[in-house]
Amino acid sequence: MTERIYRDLFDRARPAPALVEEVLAAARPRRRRPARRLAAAALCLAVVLGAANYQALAAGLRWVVRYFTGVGAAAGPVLVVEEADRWTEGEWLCQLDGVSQGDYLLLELYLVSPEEEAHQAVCRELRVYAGDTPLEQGDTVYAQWLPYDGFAAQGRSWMSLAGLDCGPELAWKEAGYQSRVHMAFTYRLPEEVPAELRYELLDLEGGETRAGTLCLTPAEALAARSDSRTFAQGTVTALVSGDGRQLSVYAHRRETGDGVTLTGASLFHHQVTFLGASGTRYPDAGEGFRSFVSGQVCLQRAAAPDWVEEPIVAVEIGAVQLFYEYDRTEADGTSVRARDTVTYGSLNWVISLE
Amino acid sequence: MDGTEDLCRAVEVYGDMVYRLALAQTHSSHDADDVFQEVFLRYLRAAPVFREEEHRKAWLLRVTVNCCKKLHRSFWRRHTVALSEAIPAQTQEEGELLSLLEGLPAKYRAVLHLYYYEGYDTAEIGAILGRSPGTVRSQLARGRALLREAWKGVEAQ
Repeated sequence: MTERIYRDLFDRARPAPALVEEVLAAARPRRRRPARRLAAAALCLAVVLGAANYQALAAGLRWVVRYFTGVGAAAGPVLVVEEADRWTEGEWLCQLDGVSQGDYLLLELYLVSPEEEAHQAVCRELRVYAGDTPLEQGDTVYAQWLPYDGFAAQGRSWMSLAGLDCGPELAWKEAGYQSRVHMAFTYRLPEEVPAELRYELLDLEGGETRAGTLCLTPAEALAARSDSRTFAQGTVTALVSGDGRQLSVYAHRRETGDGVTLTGASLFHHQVTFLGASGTRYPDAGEGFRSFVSGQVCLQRAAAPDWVEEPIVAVEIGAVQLFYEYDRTEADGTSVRARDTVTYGSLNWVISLE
Repeated sequence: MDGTEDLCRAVEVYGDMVYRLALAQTHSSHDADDVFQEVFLRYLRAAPVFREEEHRKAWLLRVTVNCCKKLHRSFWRRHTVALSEAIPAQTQEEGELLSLLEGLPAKYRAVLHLYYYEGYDTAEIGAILGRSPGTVRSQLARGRALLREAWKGVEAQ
Protein backbone atom coordinates (compact mmCIF):
# COMPACT_ATOMS: atom_id res chain seq x y z
CA MET A 1 0.00 0.00 0.00
CA THR A 2 2.85 2.37 0.90
CA GLU A 3 4.28 2.00 -2.60
CA ARG A 4 0.98 2.88 -4.29
CA ILE A 5 0.40 5.96 -2.14
CA TYR A 6 4.02 6.99 -2.67
CA ARG A 7 3.57 6.77 -6.44
CA ASP A 8 0.30 8.72 -6.32
CA LEU A 9 1.98 11.49 -4.34
CA PHE A 10 5.00 11.89 -6.57
CA ASP A 11 2.96 11.59 -9.77
CA ARG A 12 1.71 15.07 -8.92
CA ALA A 13 5.20 16.57 -8.48
CA ARG A 14 6.43 18.37 -11.59
CA PRO A 15 8.86 21.20 -12.31
CA ALA A 16 7.12 24.54 -12.88
CA PRO A 17 6.92 25.58 -16.56
CA ALA A 18 8.92 28.75 -15.74
CA LEU A 19 11.71 26.60 -14.29
CA VAL A 20 11.83 24.42 -17.40
CA GLU A 21 11.89 27.51 -19.61
CA GLU A 22 14.74 28.98 -17.56
CA VAL A 23 16.83 25.83 -18.02
CA LEU A 24 16.14 25.63 -21.74
CA ALA A 25 17.05 29.30 -22.13
CA ALA A 26 20.55 28.47 -20.92
CA ALA A 27 21.07 26.28 -23.98
CA ARG A 28 19.94 28.81 -26.58
CA PRO A 29 22.62 30.71 -28.49
CA ARG A 30 23.23 34.17 -27.15
CA ARG A 31 25.56 37.05 -27.88
CA ARG A 32 29.09 35.78 -27.56
CA ARG A 33 31.45 37.36 -25.10
CA PRO A 34 35.20 37.02 -25.51
CA ALA A 35 36.43 33.98 -23.58
CA ARG A 36 39.02 35.97 -21.69
CA ARG A 37 36.44 38.47 -20.42
CA LEU A 38 34.18 35.64 -19.43
CA ALA A 39 37.02 34.02 -17.52
CA ALA A 40 37.82 37.32 -15.83
CA ALA A 41 34.19 37.69 -14.79
CA ALA A 42 34.22 34.19 -13.35
CA LEU A 43 37.42 34.98 -11.46
CA CYS A 44 35.93 38.16 -9.97
CA LEU A 45 32.85 36.23 -8.95
CA ALA A 46 35.06 33.56 -7.43
CA VAL A 47 36.77 36.19 -5.32
CA VAL A 48 33.41 37.49 -4.11
CA LEU A 49 32.06 34.06 -3.29
CA GLY A 50 35.29 32.69 -1.87
CA ALA A 51 37.64 30.68 -4.01
CA ALA A 52 36.40 27.41 -2.54
CA ASN A 53 33.46 27.71 -4.93
CA TYR A 54 35.63 28.41 -7.92
CA GLN A 55 35.75 24.86 -9.16
CA ALA A 56 31.98 24.77 -9.30
CA LEU A 57 31.99 27.97 -11.33
CA ALA A 58 34.69 26.89 -13.70
CA ALA A 59 32.54 24.81 -16.01
CA GLY A 60 31.98 22.13 -13.44
CA LEU A 61 34.58 19.72 -14.65
CA ARG A 62 37.71 21.81 -14.68
CA TRP A 63 39.11 20.66 -11.41
CA VAL A 64 42.61 22.07 -11.77
CA VAL A 65 42.94 24.58 -8.98
CA ARG A 66 43.57 27.89 -10.63
CA TYR A 67 44.06 29.67 -7.35
CA PHE A 68 47.05 28.95 -5.19
CA THR A 69 47.46 30.52 -1.83
CA GLY A 70 50.48 32.79 -1.99
CA VAL A 71 51.77 31.95 -5.42
CA GLY A 72 55.39 32.81 -5.98
CA ALA A 73 56.48 32.30 -2.39
CA ALA A 74 59.02 29.69 -3.31
CA ALA A 75 60.13 28.44 -6.68
CA GLY A 76 59.17 31.04 -9.23
CA PRO A 77 55.83 31.85 -10.77
CA VAL A 78 53.03 29.35 -11.05
CA LEU A 79 51.38 29.20 -14.45
CA VAL A 80 48.20 27.35 -15.25
CA VAL A 81 46.68 26.28 -18.55
CA GLU A 82 44.18 29.04 -19.31
CA GLU A 83 41.54 26.70 -20.68
CA ALA A 84 41.77 22.94 -20.63
CA ASP A 85 41.42 21.27 -24.02
CA ARG A 86 38.44 18.90 -24.15
CA TRP A 87 37.14 16.47 -26.74
CA THR A 88 35.34 13.13 -26.90
CA GLU A 89 36.53 9.70 -27.99
CA GLY A 90 33.44 7.54 -28.29
CA GLU A 91 31.77 7.65 -24.90
CA TRP A 92 34.91 8.92 -23.22
CA LEU A 93 35.28 12.59 -22.45
CA CYS A 94 38.95 13.61 -22.68
CA GLN A 95 40.60 16.58 -21.02
CA LEU A 96 44.15 17.87 -21.19
CA ASP A 97 44.97 20.37 -18.47
CA GLY A 98 48.07 21.44 -16.63
CA VAL A 99 50.15 23.63 -14.40
CA SER A 100 53.79 24.68 -14.25
CA GLN A 101 56.01 25.48 -11.31
CA GLY A 102 59.56 26.72 -11.66
CA ASP A 103 61.25 24.89 -14.52
CA TYR A 104 58.66 22.16 -14.97
CA LEU A 105 55.33 21.75 -16.65
CA LEU A 106 52.91 19.04 -15.51
CA LEU A 107 50.22 18.07 -18.01
CA GLU A 108 47.45 15.71 -17.03
CA LEU A 109 45.29 13.82 -19.47
CA TYR A 110 41.96 12.57 -18.16
CA LEU A 111 39.59 10.24 -19.97
CA VAL A 112 36.34 9.83 -18.04
CA SER A 113 33.34 7.66 -18.71
CA PRO A 114 29.77 7.82 -17.41
CA GLU A 115 29.96 4.03 -17.19
CA GLU A 116 32.13 1.82 -15.05
CA GLU A 117 34.13 0.23 -17.81
CA ALA A 118 37.85 -0.32 -18.25
CA HIS A 119 39.56 1.61 -21.03
CA GLN A 120 41.68 -0.72 -23.10
CA ALA A 121 43.70 1.71 -25.18
CA VAL A 122 45.78 3.68 -22.74
CA CYS A 123 49.02 3.88 -24.74
CA ARG A 124 49.65 7.53 -25.44
CA GLU A 125 52.60 9.75 -26.19
CA LEU A 126 52.39 13.48 -25.65
CA ARG A 127 54.81 15.72 -27.52
CA VAL A 128 54.88 19.35 -26.48
CA TYR A 129 56.52 22.17 -28.45
CA ALA A 130 57.49 25.76 -27.74
CA GLY A 131 57.31 27.07 -31.30
CA ASP A 132 59.03 24.30 -33.27
CA THR A 133 61.27 23.19 -30.41
CA PRO A 134 60.15 20.03 -28.61
CA LEU A 135 60.24 20.28 -24.81
CA GLU A 136 62.45 17.81 -22.97
CA GLN A 137 60.56 15.33 -20.87
CA GLY A 138 60.75 15.62 -17.06
CA ASP A 139 63.10 13.52 -14.98
CA THR A 140 60.56 11.49 -13.05
CA VAL A 141 57.49 11.39 -15.24
CA TYR A 142 57.77 10.64 -18.91
CA ALA A 143 56.13 11.76 -22.11
CA GLN A 144 54.93 8.28 -23.02
CA TRP A 145 52.36 6.02 -21.38
CA LEU A 146 52.64 2.33 -22.17
CA PRO A 147 50.70 -0.60 -20.73
CA TYR A 148 52.28 -1.83 -17.51
CA ASP A 149 51.84 -5.12 -15.76
CA GLY A 150 51.34 -4.24 -12.12
CA PHE A 151 53.36 -1.29 -10.93
CA ALA A 152 53.32 1.75 -13.15
CA ALA A 153 55.94 4.36 -12.38
CA GLN A 154 53.65 7.21 -13.35
CA GLY A 155 50.68 6.18 -11.27
CA ARG A 156 47.53 4.21 -11.90
CA SER A 157 45.90 4.82 -15.23
CA TRP A 158 42.40 3.29 -15.07
CA MET A 159 40.30 3.45 -11.94
CA SER A 160 36.66 3.21 -10.88
CA LEU A 161 35.49 6.39 -9.16
CA ALA A 162 32.85 4.56 -7.10
CA GLY A 163 34.79 4.31 -3.84
CA LEU A 164 36.43 7.74 -4.03
CA ASP A 165 35.79 10.03 -1.05
CA CYS A 166 38.43 12.73 -1.40
CA GLY A 167 40.78 14.32 -3.90
CA PRO A 168 40.31 16.47 -6.96
CA GLU A 169 38.77 13.60 -8.89
CA LEU A 170 35.67 13.90 -6.71
CA ALA A 171 34.59 16.61 -9.16
CA TRP A 172 34.39 13.96 -11.90
CA LYS A 173 32.42 11.64 -9.67
CA GLU A 174 29.99 14.38 -8.67
CA ALA A 175 29.47 15.20 -12.32
CA GLY A 176 28.21 11.66 -12.80
CA TYR A 177 31.28 9.91 -14.19
CA GLN A 178 32.07 6.43 -12.94
CA SER A 179 35.54 5.63 -14.21
CA ARG A 180 38.60 7.46 -15.35
CA VAL A 181 41.94 7.08 -17.04
CA HIS A 182 44.60 9.48 -15.79
CA MET A 183 47.97 10.00 -17.40
CA ALA A 184 50.48 12.53 -16.13
CA PHE A 185 53.35 13.93 -18.18
CA THR A 186 56.09 16.37 -17.19
CA TYR A 187 58.36 18.54 -19.31
CA ARG A 188 61.21 20.93 -18.66
CA LEU A 189 60.26 24.45 -19.72
CA PRO A 190 62.68 26.71 -21.62
CA GLU A 191 64.18 29.65 -19.76
CA GLU A 192 61.82 32.02 -21.46
CA VAL A 193 58.46 30.44 -20.91
CA PRO A 194 56.24 30.84 -23.99
CA ALA A 195 52.64 31.96 -23.54
CA GLU A 196 51.45 29.25 -25.92
CA LEU A 197 52.48 25.63 -26.29
CA ARG A 198 51.64 23.29 -29.12
CA TYR A 199 50.99 19.60 -28.50
CA GLU A 200 50.58 16.34 -30.39
CA LEU A 201 48.92 13.47 -28.62
CA LEU A 202 49.65 10.14 -30.25
CA ASP A 203 47.49 7.08 -29.72
CA LEU A 204 50.19 4.43 -29.86
CA GLU A 205 47.71 1.62 -30.49
CA GLY A 206 45.15 3.28 -32.74
CA GLY A 207 47.75 5.31 -34.62
CA GLU A 208 45.73 8.53 -34.49
CA THR A 209 47.19 11.89 -33.58
CA ARG A 210 45.45 14.84 -32.05
CA ALA A 211 47.06 18.28 -32.23
CA GLY A 212 46.19 21.37 -30.26
CA THR A 213 47.49 24.37 -28.35
CA LEU A 214 47.54 25.25 -24.66
CA CYS A 215 47.92 28.80 -23.35
CA LEU A 216 49.72 29.39 -20.07
CA THR A 217 48.64 32.19 -17.78
CA PRO A 218 49.79 33.22 -14.27
CA ALA A 219 47.71 31.75 -11.45
CA GLU A 220 45.83 34.17 -9.26
CA ALA A 221 47.23 34.73 -5.79
CA LEU A 222 45.25 35.25 -2.61
CA ALA A 223 46.23 37.41 0.33
CA ALA A 224 47.98 35.09 2.75
CA ARG A 225 49.60 34.63 6.11
CA SER A 226 52.77 32.58 6.17
CA ASP A 227 54.75 30.52 8.62
CA SER A 228 57.88 28.44 8.01
CA ARG A 229 59.45 25.33 9.48
CA THR A 230 62.95 24.10 8.84
CA PHE A 231 63.63 20.38 8.54
CA ALA A 232 66.89 18.53 7.92
CA GLN A 233 66.20 18.64 4.16
CA GLY A 234 65.26 22.33 4.00
CA THR A 235 62.61 24.89 4.79
CA VAL A 236 58.89 24.61 4.12
CA THR A 237 56.55 27.59 4.15
CA ALA A 238 52.85 27.21 4.85
CA LEU A 239 50.59 29.88 3.38
CA VAL A 240 47.07 30.53 4.62
CA SER A 241 44.51 32.67 2.83
CA GLY A 242 43.26 35.81 4.60
CA ASP A 243 40.01 34.12 5.64
CA GLY A 244 41.86 31.06 6.91
CA ARG A 245 39.93 28.69 4.68
CA GLN A 246 42.76 27.68 2.35
CA LEU A 247 46.22 26.32 2.89
CA SER A 248 49.20 25.50 0.68
CA VAL A 249 52.74 24.49 1.50
CA TYR A 250 55.85 25.26 -0.52
CA ALA A 251 59.38 23.95 -0.41
CA HIS A 252 62.28 26.40 -0.55
CA ARG A 253 64.43 24.95 -3.32
CA ARG A 254 67.85 25.74 -1.88
CA GLU A 255 70.78 23.38 -1.54
CA THR A 256 71.91 22.76 2.04
CA GLY A 257 75.57 22.47 3.08
CA ASP A 258 75.24 18.67 2.73
CA GLY A 259 74.21 18.91 -0.92
CA VAL A 260 70.53 18.18 -0.22
CA THR A 261 67.95 20.12 -2.23
CA LEU A 262 64.34 20.17 -1.17
CA THR A 263 62.21 19.97 -4.32
CA GLY A 264 58.66 19.68 -3.02
CA ALA A 265 56.39 19.49 0.01
CA SER A 266 53.11 17.69 0.16
CA LEU A 267 50.18 17.74 2.59
CA PHE A 268 48.08 14.79 3.68
CA HIS A 269 44.31 15.13 3.42
CA HIS A 270 43.70 13.60 6.87
CA GLN A 271 46.45 15.65 8.52
CA VAL A 272 45.05 19.13 7.94
CA THR A 273 42.58 20.64 10.40
CA PHE A 274 40.81 24.00 10.29
CA LEU A 275 39.96 25.44 13.71
CA GLY A 276 36.76 27.46 14.02
CA ALA A 277 36.22 30.42 16.37
CA SER A 278 34.04 28.18 18.58
CA GLY A 279 36.91 25.73 19.00
CA THR A 280 35.37 23.19 16.62
CA ARG A 281 37.90 21.27 14.53
CA TYR A 282 37.03 20.79 10.85
CA PRO A 283 38.82 18.32 8.58
CA ASP A 284 40.13 19.32 5.17
CA ALA A 285 37.38 19.19 2.54
CA GLY A 286 39.67 17.06 0.42
CA GLU A 287 38.65 18.54 -2.88
CA GLY A 288 41.65 20.62 -3.78
CA PHE A 289 44.49 18.17 -3.56
CA ARG A 290 46.22 17.40 -6.80
CA SER A 291 46.14 13.73 -7.55
CA PHE A 292 49.68 13.59 -8.76
CA VAL A 293 52.80 14.98 -7.12
CA SER A 294 56.00 14.39 -9.02
CA GLY A 295 58.41 16.23 -6.78
CA GLN A 296 59.05 18.60 -9.67
CA VAL A 297 55.58 20.10 -9.77
CA CYS A 298 54.02 19.97 -6.36
CA LEU A 299 51.01 22.19 -5.88
CA GLN A 300 48.24 21.54 -3.46
CA ARG A 301 45.49 23.42 -1.78
CA ALA A 302 43.71 22.24 1.33
CA ALA A 303 40.39 23.93 2.06
CA ALA A 304 37.88 24.11 4.89
CA PRO A 305 34.56 22.42 4.04
CA ASP A 306 32.20 24.85 2.32
CA TRP A 307 29.43 24.20 4.86
CA VAL A 308 31.48 25.72 7.70
CA GLU A 309 29.89 29.08 8.46
CA GLU A 310 31.88 30.31 11.46
CA PRO A 311 35.21 32.15 11.04
CA ILE A 312 38.36 30.05 10.87
CA VAL A 313 40.92 31.23 13.42
CA ALA A 314 43.79 28.77 12.86
CA VAL A 315 45.01 25.93 10.67
CA GLU A 316 46.86 22.90 12.00
CA ILE A 317 49.17 20.68 9.97
CA GLY A 318 49.81 17.26 11.46
CA ALA A 319 52.29 15.93 8.89
CA VAL A 320 54.09 16.80 5.67
CA GLN A 321 55.94 14.74 3.12
CA LEU A 322 59.11 16.23 1.66
CA PHE A 323 60.67 15.44 -1.72
CA TYR A 324 64.39 16.00 -2.00
CA GLU A 325 67.50 15.32 -4.06
CA TYR A 326 70.89 14.31 -2.66
CA ASP A 327 74.25 12.94 -3.77
CA ARG A 328 74.47 9.17 -3.35
CA THR A 329 77.78 7.36 -3.48
CA GLU A 330 77.59 4.11 -5.46
CA ALA A 331 79.53 0.91 -4.70
CA ASP A 332 82.14 1.83 -7.30
CA GLY A 333 82.73 5.18 -5.57
CA THR A 334 80.94 7.32 -8.16
CA SER A 335 78.45 9.89 -7.01
CA VAL A 336 74.97 10.13 -8.50
CA ARG A 337 72.14 12.53 -7.88
CA ALA A 338 69.31 10.59 -6.26
CA ARG A 339 65.79 11.40 -5.09
CA ASP A 340 63.92 10.37 -1.99
CA THR A 341 61.03 11.33 0.24
CA VAL A 342 60.67 11.69 3.98
CA THR A 343 57.54 12.15 6.07
CA TYR A 344 57.41 14.21 9.24
CA GLY A 345 54.47 13.47 11.54
CA SER A 346 53.18 14.74 14.90
CA LEU A 347 54.11 18.27 13.84
CA ASN A 348 51.35 20.10 15.72
CA TRP A 349 52.12 22.99 13.40
CA VAL A 350 49.45 25.58 14.14
CA ILE A 351 49.20 28.75 12.08
CA SER A 352 47.03 31.22 13.93
CA LEU A 353 45.14 34.03 12.22
CA GLU A 354 44.41 35.90 15.45
CA MET B 1 21.68 16.58 -32.65
CA ASP B 2 23.16 19.86 -31.30
CA GLY B 3 23.44 20.77 -27.62
CA THR B 4 20.17 22.75 -27.52
CA GLU B 5 18.10 20.00 -29.12
CA ASP B 6 19.72 17.37 -26.95
CA LEU B 7 18.97 19.36 -23.79
CA CYS B 8 15.35 20.02 -24.83
CA ARG B 9 14.82 16.33 -25.42
CA ALA B 10 16.46 15.36 -22.13
CA VAL B 11 14.33 17.87 -20.19
CA GLU B 12 11.18 16.71 -21.97
CA VAL B 13 11.81 13.01 -21.36
CA TYR B 14 13.53 13.09 -17.97
CA GLY B 15 12.60 16.47 -16.44
CA ASP B 16 9.83 15.06 -14.24
CA MET B 17 12.02 12.16 -13.15
CA VAL B 18 14.87 14.47 -12.09
CA TYR B 19 12.54 16.85 -10.29
CA ARG B 20 10.74 14.06 -8.40
CA LEU B 21 13.97 12.47 -7.23
CA ALA B 22 15.30 15.88 -6.16
CA LEU B 23 12.09 16.55 -4.26
CA ALA B 24 12.11 13.10 -2.66
CA GLN B 25 15.69 13.66 -1.51
CA THR B 26 15.57 17.33 -0.41
CA HIS B 27 11.89 17.56 0.69
CA SER B 28 11.87 21.16 -0.53
CA SER B 29 10.48 22.53 -3.77
CA HIS B 30 13.04 25.39 -3.69
CA ASP B 31 15.90 22.93 -3.38
CA ALA B 32 14.37 20.67 -6.02
CA ASP B 33 14.25 23.68 -8.36
CA ASP B 34 17.94 24.38 -7.70
CA VAL B 35 18.91 20.76 -8.24
CA PHE B 36 16.82 20.54 -11.43
CA GLN B 37 18.67 23.54 -12.88
CA GLU B 38 22.07 22.29 -11.79
CA VAL B 39 21.55 18.81 -13.21
CA PHE B 40 20.56 20.02 -16.66
CA LEU B 41 23.26 22.68 -16.72
CA ARG B 42 25.78 19.94 -15.99
CA TYR B 43 24.21 17.88 -18.74
CA LEU B 44 24.60 20.79 -21.15
CA ARG B 45 28.22 21.40 -20.17
CA ALA B 46 29.33 17.78 -20.09
CA ALA B 47 27.43 16.81 -23.26
CA PRO B 48 27.83 13.14 -22.38
CA VAL B 49 27.50 10.55 -25.14
CA PHE B 50 25.67 7.31 -24.36
CA ARG B 51 25.48 3.99 -26.12
CA GLU B 52 22.05 3.25 -24.72
CA GLU B 53 19.17 5.42 -23.55
CA GLU B 54 19.11 3.62 -20.21
CA HIS B 55 22.62 4.95 -19.53
CA ARG B 56 21.45 8.53 -20.09
CA LYS B 57 18.68 7.98 -17.56
CA ALA B 58 21.10 6.46 -15.04
CA TRP B 59 23.54 9.36 -15.57
CA LEU B 60 20.81 11.91 -14.83
CA LEU B 61 19.66 10.03 -11.72
CA ARG B 62 23.22 9.78 -10.42
CA VAL B 63 23.96 13.46 -10.99
CA THR B 64 20.67 14.39 -9.33
CA VAL B 65 21.63 12.49 -6.18
CA ASN B 66 25.11 14.06 -6.21
CA CYS B 67 23.67 17.56 -6.61
CA CYS B 68 21.27 16.91 -3.72
CA LYS B 69 24.18 15.80 -1.54
CA LYS B 70 26.09 18.96 -2.39
CA LEU B 71 23.08 21.11 -1.58
CA HIS B 72 22.54 19.20 1.64
CA ARG B 73 26.11 19.92 2.70
CA SER B 74 25.88 23.61 1.90
CA PHE B 75 22.42 24.93 2.63
CA TRP B 76 20.42 22.26 4.39
CA ARG B 77 19.50 24.27 7.45
CA ARG B 78 18.38 27.29 5.47
CA HIS B 79 16.18 25.48 2.98
CA THR B 80 14.46 22.77 4.99
CA VAL B 81 10.67 22.88 4.69
CA ALA B 82 8.00 20.26 5.02
CA LEU B 83 7.53 17.92 2.06
CA SER B 84 3.77 18.36 2.49
CA GLU B 85 4.15 22.00 1.39
CA ALA B 86 5.60 20.83 -1.92
CA ILE B 87 3.03 18.04 -2.50
CA PRO B 88 -0.14 18.79 -0.54
CA ALA B 89 -1.93 15.62 0.55
CA GLN B 90 -5.30 14.84 -1.03
CA THR B 91 -6.26 11.94 1.23
CA GLN B 92 -5.70 11.06 4.86
CA GLU B 93 -3.41 8.18 3.83
CA GLU B 94 -1.26 10.53 1.76
CA GLY B 95 -1.05 12.93 4.69
CA GLU B 96 0.10 10.13 6.96
CA LEU B 97 2.70 8.89 4.47
CA LEU B 98 4.00 12.44 4.00
CA SER B 99 4.51 12.90 7.72
CA LEU B 100 6.33 9.54 7.85
CA LEU B 101 8.54 10.48 4.92
CA GLU B 102 9.39 13.78 6.59
CA GLY B 103 10.89 11.84 9.49
CA LEU B 104 12.91 9.55 7.21
CA PRO B 105 16.69 10.17 7.37
CA ALA B 106 18.19 11.58 4.14
CA LYS B 107 20.38 8.54 3.48
CA TYR B 108 17.36 6.30 2.83
CA ARG B 109 15.36 8.67 0.64
CA ALA B 110 16.97 8.25 -2.79
CA VAL B 111 17.15 4.47 -2.41
CA LEU B 112 13.46 4.28 -1.47
CA HIS B 113 12.45 6.61 -4.28
CA LEU B 114 14.38 4.68 -6.92
CA TYR B 115 12.85 1.45 -5.63
CA TYR B 116 9.26 2.60 -5.05
CA TYR B 117 8.86 5.09 -7.84
CA GLU B 118 11.37 4.27 -10.58
CA GLY B 119 11.07 0.52 -10.08
CA TYR B 120 14.80 -0.27 -10.01
CA ASP B 121 16.10 -3.35 -8.19
CA THR B 122 18.87 -3.13 -5.61
CA ALA B 123 21.68 -4.03 -8.05
CA GLU B 124 20.54 -1.31 -10.46
CA ILE B 125 20.23 1.23 -7.64
CA GLY B 126 23.74 0.30 -6.50
CA ALA B 127 25.09 0.92 -10.00
CA ILE B 128 23.31 4.28 -10.26
CA LEU B 129 24.39 5.54 -6.85
CA GLY B 130 27.88 4.05 -6.89
CA ARG B 131 27.13 1.95 -3.81
CA SER B 132 27.46 -1.79 -3.39
CA PRO B 133 24.27 -3.85 -3.82
CA GLY B 134 24.72 -5.00 -0.19
CA THR B 135 24.71 -1.40 1.06
CA VAL B 136 21.62 -0.62 -1.01
CA ARG B 137 19.86 -3.75 0.27
CA SER B 138 20.53 -2.82 3.87
CA GLN B 139 19.54 0.86 3.34
CA LEU B 140 16.35 -0.19 1.59
CA ALA B 141 15.49 -2.71 4.30
CA ARG B 142 16.17 -0.15 7.03
CA GLY B 143 14.22 2.61 5.24
CA ARG B 144 11.23 0.35 4.64
CA ALA B 145 11.37 -0.92 8.23
CA LEU B 146 11.35 2.65 9.54
CA LEU B 147 8.29 3.45 7.41
CA ARG B 148 6.56 0.24 8.51
CA GLU B 149 7.21 0.93 12.19
CA ALA B 150 6.00 4.48 11.85
CA TRP B 151 2.97 3.30 9.83
CA LYS B 152 2.03 0.88 12.61
CA GLY B 153 2.32 3.74 15.09
CA VAL B 154 -0.04 5.85 12.97
CA GLU B 155 -2.55 3.00 12.70
CA ALA B 156 -2.41 2.36 16.46
CA GLN B 157 -3.35 5.96 17.24
